[in-house]
Amino acid sequence: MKTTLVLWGALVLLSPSGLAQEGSAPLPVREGSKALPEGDLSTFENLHRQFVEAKVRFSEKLKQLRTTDRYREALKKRDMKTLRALMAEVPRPEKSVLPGFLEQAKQVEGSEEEAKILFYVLSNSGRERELSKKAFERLAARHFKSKDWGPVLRALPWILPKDRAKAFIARLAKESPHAEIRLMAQYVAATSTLRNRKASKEEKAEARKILDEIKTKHPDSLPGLSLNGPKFIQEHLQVGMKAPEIVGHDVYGKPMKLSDFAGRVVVIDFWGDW
Amino acid sequence: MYPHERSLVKKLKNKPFTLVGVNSDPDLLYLHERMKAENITWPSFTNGPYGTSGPIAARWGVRGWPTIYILDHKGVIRFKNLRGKRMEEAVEKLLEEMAEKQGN
Repeated sequence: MKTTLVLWGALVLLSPSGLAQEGSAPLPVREGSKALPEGDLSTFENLHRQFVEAKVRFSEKLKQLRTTDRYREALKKRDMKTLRALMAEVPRPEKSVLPGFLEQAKQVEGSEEEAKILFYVLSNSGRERELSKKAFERLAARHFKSKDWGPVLRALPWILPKDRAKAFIARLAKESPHAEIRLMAQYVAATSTLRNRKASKEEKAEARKILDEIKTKHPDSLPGLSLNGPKFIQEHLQVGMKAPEIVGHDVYGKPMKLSDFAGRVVVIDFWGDW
Repeated sequence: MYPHERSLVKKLKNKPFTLVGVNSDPDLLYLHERMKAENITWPSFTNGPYGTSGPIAARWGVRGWPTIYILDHKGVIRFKNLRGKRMEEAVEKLLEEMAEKQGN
């Protein structure tokens, strides 16, 4: 029954033909896995489940809070102080549950499992910046070569001093053993240079050159797709055009294509639960 | 958004219509819980561990959420970014169009 959960290990693989699976590598799904004895789960899987359950409990409590008279009253009066105090009574899981994960991670220090836990903490610590920093430092020290840096790169400038983030991303751009990560790091570095008002003309010109190269030489990489998005809209997503195929996985890990729904009226809804 | 989508899906459950989501939440385990709680029963692609910058949204140039495309039964894009009542009207129009064509 042992299946490895590869949520953070699932790198997006896009073939040069552009026809590759779009919805990431086979997904980590174990429907009904709640029934599994805990001993069957890895440390990361256990913690992941704990955090998810804590988040569910948190949103239930928040929902309850919003129905109370005290809350409604404060909301009506726009009494921020009371609202904040009421919210503080429902501890956020980032604060109550996540710190313990760093302790747990120590028990599997140096392993893939540790990296998974730390990347998860880094991605889910929200406003708890100290927690993200701790997770980052351990990852930087022991897991520089991981293939899972991609999704957290954009968050690094919010977590670390700007120069530190910049230097680390530059190092990944050069030295990561994974081509996808190098490319993603180059992309993130170049886009933040273009946004930076203090960057020199030369730096900006260099950044533009890098983005142009990604656009033309790596159009099927994640950054390449993103840079070519506006062109794709122009060429393929106008009213009256046949919608392009989507090949990927559904949220339960099952392969799915847009053409599975051929012959039906379809609403495509890009959504997120936030 | 959920209540309207839920009612649309329910209302049209016997029609040749599907709401296809492209979801951008990286934590699927949590998403499953949310979908259960919100009774989200329609199919969704996952945009993968990169979340909003994942491959489907990146290719389709999506910059804002929700982004909506409405396709007729031939797979042609007929409307973009209609929401609420206007989405429902568009879908019903396309379903009627489809029924007429098949009647001929």
